[in-house]
Amino acid sequence: MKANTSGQKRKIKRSNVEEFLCVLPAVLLVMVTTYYPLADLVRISFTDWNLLRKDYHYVGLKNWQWFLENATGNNFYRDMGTTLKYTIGSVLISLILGLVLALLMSRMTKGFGAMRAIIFLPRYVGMSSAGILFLWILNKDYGIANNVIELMGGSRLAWVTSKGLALMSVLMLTGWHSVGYAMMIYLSAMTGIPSSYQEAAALDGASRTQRFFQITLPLLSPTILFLLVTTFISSMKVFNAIDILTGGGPYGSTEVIVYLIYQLGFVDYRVDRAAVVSLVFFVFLLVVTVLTMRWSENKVNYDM
Amino acid sequence: MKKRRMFSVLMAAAVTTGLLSGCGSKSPQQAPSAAAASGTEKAATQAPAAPGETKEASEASMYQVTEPVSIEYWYNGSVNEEFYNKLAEDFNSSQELITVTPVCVGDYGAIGEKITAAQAAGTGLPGLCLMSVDRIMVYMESGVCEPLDPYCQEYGVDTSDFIDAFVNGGTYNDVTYAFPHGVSVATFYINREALAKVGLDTFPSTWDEFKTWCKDVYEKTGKTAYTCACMQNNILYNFAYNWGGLLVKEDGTTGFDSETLKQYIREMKELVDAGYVEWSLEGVEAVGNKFLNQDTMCINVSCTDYGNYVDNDFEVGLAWNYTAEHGISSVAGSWMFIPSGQDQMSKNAAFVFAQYLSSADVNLEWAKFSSYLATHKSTITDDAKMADIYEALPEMKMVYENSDNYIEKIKTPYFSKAMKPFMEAINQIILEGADFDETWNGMLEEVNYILAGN
Repeated sequence: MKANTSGQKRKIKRSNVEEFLCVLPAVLLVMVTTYYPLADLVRISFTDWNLLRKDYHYVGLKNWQWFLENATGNNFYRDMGTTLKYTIGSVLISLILGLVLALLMSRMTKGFGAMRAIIFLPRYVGMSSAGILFLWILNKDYGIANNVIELMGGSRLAWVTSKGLALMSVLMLTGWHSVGYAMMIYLSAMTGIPSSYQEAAALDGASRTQRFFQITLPLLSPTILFLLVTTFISSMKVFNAIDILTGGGPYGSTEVIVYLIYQLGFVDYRVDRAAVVSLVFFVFLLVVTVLTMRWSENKVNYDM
Repeated sequence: MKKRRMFSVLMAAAVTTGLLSGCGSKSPQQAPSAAAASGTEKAATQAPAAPGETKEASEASMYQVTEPVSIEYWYNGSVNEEFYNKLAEDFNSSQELITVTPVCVGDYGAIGEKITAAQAAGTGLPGLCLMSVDRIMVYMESGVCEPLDPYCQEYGVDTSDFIDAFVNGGTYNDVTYAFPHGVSVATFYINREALAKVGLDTFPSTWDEFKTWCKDVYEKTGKTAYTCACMQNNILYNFAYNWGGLLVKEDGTTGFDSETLKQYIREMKELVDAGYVEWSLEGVEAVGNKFLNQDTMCINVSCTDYGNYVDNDFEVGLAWNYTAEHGISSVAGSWMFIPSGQDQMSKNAAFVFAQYLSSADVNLEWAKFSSYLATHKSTITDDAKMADIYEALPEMKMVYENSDNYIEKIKTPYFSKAMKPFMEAINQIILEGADFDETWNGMLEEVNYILAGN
């Protein structure tokens, strides 16, 4: 009996080793392409590396001291605030507008299929092309947006060049670009909800609203969490749309953290400082993501 | 449970680290030496002097192309593809050992990113590269550009025939690092036809006249008199310089604190508030459209746009900025440089091509094709040579006649970075009504902080 147990243990051990060897190439790939650069970034943050110079020296905590002493001067706080504002807007657009569109487009008829495709299509338009398109749509003097507003009796707005509207313009662009994706994710999740739940609730006299809030929404919670985390992280990393539409302006009102990192690394060539800001940003994202996942453990309903 | 938490943390870390891969994927230790402009490296690559051979003769030989070599020439703007392809074809057919391949990389930003990455990686560098003047300053200071003086000496290139401001734009600490290529200056464009109709034939030549002129234009045409593309650092640099505001003084601090400049900004704000002048945060293309649509009667943009504006529904005129105290225009555009990280044979080949590309005759052809300025004194003073340009772009004569009023931008690697708070301060004062002294003093502090190397 004892020999049999140890034989089983050996079998399990061998199986574990085999499994480990199977995933090892993937693990190594992730280590080399993801964790090594991260570790190297930590090392770079202790150097004075200028991207254009071949030589560099280790300078200890000098860059970290620069960051802590000049976080206001180097616009870190301002840009972090802008990043968060943008992210909140972007997450809300994806989560709420995506859900509304999914509910509207959930009927599986041919006409709705075409409309779904139209809404999803911007996802395939390159952000650079979309950005230039929006620059003209939102142009103060000749843009279609202002023409429509003027026809409706309103006055022309400086969408891209006024402090109050520039971030909203970026959100319009990225929202237009990404809301179709959120809608499709919701739609695929909604098709997975057994129709018997809805039918049973309807038989019990539940209204449409009650069925949505008591059945559909709770069963969509894993999808909402997925969209929340992925949209949060991708929004925190927004760069292209801002670079093309506003260039961080006016007056730095749309300058986000990745833009700051880009400026430090590729305009000022201070990769050492870019590394510090990147690491701080990484830790922030890591903490927020972990907290979101832990918070969601009790809130998300995986039963179906 | 602990394992699960650990797994969650690792998962989150994997998701978020994707963000950072761009900045940390290359270790500086792996970056091979960007070669050097230093004499020590050159000494290391040169052959030892043969008995009886002088040291000078040995040094000279290292700049000659002695074996077949292929180089790339990186440029901006796909509209120039046809010109450069033809040029390279002509050049290649005249050479036994050198083959040049022109590569359109994109705009200056794209070239900058690519050259920076290639420089850091130590591979994939072009032989010759175009770059905007703002970035060239940083490259010259950082040793990215090969010093060209020894090559000029070897090949007998006389840079004194370049217009002074142009050649000065490519020098740093009295060393020539780059030759001018797609260079331009800002000039006023006026809707001559519409202005003539309301009796405003003459462009003002003093600031007081300009203020009155703006009011008259607005009242007589009902259109904006002048639209300033205030996001163009070249335009605001000229404004500052013209009114005594130097970006950097000799002591290394900013000289923007000029009373004349401050007064000028106050008066400009009055013109903007009255609606005579538009201070536009939009891009230069949008401002140009406004001019072409006759919504504004005057703009101040690069003289190279004249080629695009001249074939129009209305007569376009050019005018020099005599309204300002100094009446200068700083040169902008692109200079060509050889990356110092290239191998010596490629650098030699690149110089031979640069010499060809910047020669008076080829440059004149380039000027005709592109509307950029001809760069040689011997060309612009010869009306016969300039005849084609003046025929196609008649008012460019005025721009060339003002070549003594071209100046190179002040040499600091912090040019773009230091101009940003200055531009933002002016724009906030004029457009947002920000408190003048508070905004101005904050700007001075920030510019000095940047100029101190922070």
